[in-house]
Amino acid sequence: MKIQVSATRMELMNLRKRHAVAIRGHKLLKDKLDELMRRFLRMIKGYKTLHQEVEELILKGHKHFLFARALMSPIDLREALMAKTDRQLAISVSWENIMSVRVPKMTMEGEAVSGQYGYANTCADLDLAMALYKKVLPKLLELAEKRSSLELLATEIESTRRRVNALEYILIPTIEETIRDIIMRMNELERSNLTRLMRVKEIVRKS
Amino acid sequence: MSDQLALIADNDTVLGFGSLGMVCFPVETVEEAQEALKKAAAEKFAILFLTDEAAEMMGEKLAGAMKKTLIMKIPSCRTRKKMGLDEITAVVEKAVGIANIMDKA
Repeated sequence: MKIQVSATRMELMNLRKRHAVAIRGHKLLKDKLDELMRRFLRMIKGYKTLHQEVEELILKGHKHFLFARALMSPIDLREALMAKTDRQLAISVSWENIMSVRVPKMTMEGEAVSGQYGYANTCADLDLAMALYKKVLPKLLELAEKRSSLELLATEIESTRRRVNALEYILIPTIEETIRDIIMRMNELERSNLTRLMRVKEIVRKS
Repeated sequence: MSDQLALIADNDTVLGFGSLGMVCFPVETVEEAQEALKKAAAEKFAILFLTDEAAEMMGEKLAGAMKKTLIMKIPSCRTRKKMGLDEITAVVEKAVGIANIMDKA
């Protein structure tokens, strides 16, 4: 595939410039891709363990909660858990820049509120469940943060890879082919010019 | 900037896990789930915790409504089904090309 341009020195110069830019861009993007991949792989490490840990804690918490629900009267349970807590759980989200990808960083503001109920009418399983839920929350946030970072990085990796490939396999070969073509056509023109001159000289000499 | 957390789940999960101080939307039916999704989308939450059942009830509308909020699925108190790794595996596969890299890591 060639770019349709007229075979002039001007075009050749422009194409050579574009070629240099494309090569530079390709190198930069490839470096970016390598670094993104390195970060991505580092982030994957430990994700699965964290995931399993969170899952286990939540499921354990659920188990204790179900026991508590079975042992306590529904009214007591509701009364204990729906007591108005004085503050809502809040987190602050800041953004971190990884190779021009903005990934979220979450930090909890204060601690989770739980266990603000009387111990007279509640059972031990409820305390256990609440303790587990409270323990899992920071980990759950970390998991959410990692997951979102992974997703964002994956999208960026994919688009960067497409760009690198487009440059490497489409744009740069096309420009190179066009440059070669222009050079060949110009050489051909020069040769034909030379033979014409020789012919003319011959005719002039004979006459 | 501080944001709140939201939880859309069945009554039991909301009562237990939600009592940590999240904004809760208890849902039991499809209509309730759709309604909760609308309400949650109108407000700005940092993370939306969802149970698999609630996500199923919302169907396709979920992805469209929650573009800016981070969705995190948690196991529900009733089914206690495990949290799937499928979604993240798909993401990893998209980026790296192979999925079993997660097992090795």
